[in-house]
Amino acid sequence: MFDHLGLIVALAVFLLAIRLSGFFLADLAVSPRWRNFLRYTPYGALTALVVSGLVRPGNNLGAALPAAALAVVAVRLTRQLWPGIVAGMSAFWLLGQFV
Amino acid sequence: MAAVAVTRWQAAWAGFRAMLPLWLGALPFALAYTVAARKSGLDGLEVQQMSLLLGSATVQLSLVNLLSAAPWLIFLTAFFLSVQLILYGLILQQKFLYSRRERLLMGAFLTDGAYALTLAGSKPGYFLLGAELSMYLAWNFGTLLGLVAQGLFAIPAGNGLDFIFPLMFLVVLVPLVRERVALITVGVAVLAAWLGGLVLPSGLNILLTALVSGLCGLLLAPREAQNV
Repeated sequence: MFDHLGLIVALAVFLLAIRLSGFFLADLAVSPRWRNFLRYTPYGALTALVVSGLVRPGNNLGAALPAAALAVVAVRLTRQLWPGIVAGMSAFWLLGQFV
Repeated sequence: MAAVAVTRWQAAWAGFRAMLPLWLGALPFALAYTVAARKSGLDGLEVQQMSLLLGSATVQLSLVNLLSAAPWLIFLTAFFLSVQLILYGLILQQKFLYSRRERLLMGAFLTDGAYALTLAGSKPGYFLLGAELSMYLAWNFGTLLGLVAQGLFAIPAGNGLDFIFPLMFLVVLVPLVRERVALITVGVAVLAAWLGGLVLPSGLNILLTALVSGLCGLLLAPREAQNV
């Protein structure tokens, strides 16, 4: 029952170190060029999370892409996040019936 | 003193509530994880222990497929699936200047979703912690539910609920794109992420795409732009 506990605990410590390291690396002095560089990294991280989720094997791209586009329009028009989620999920389920 | 305490917990509660829509996606994921974990030979206690101690869907799902692999391969895989968390911590700390105690507390539960929501809303303080705990609770509740429910009903395939994850990141990204440089950076990131996803594990792909975007912004943006 506890065969893998040692491995799980070691991995937990390892993951904790990864999670904390960025917060403490920030204590190092950052030049204006680095700050400018870091300013744009979130765009890439978020985009990669979107793309990897959309093109995941087994995902219905024919429904996912139009639904994602509708979500973008909903967010732009309303300037709120939740209409994008509602519009996107509704469109994804509806389109999934036909595509 | 009392006013500060109320504000912190209000911020944490706001973060907790903000993550609630993602429970819809997390629960089926957790159910699927429990099925895979039990099939790989883990007992119920170990399945729940992993969720309690790791709190990472991608690492856990990879681990159940690597149980018989060499430890170095398991740790290397976990690293590449989680390496983007280093960058998240760096960006969050630069922006919100958490105290040392806050960093220890909030860093322990850091996830992609909590990072994205906190950054998008520019929510300081304990908002991040509330968001993280919300997802941690959803993940562990889903794991427990999956363990209890296995054998009672079949999880319908193709339910589509996991679409909420990329959708959430998309709706968070959209309001952040307010200038031409950001739009171009996102365009470059789409291409980089798609190409990277063909050959790289997810964590490494996220990190490299983030670095490509940073470089793109650095080259295109005015040198004086320092509004981090």
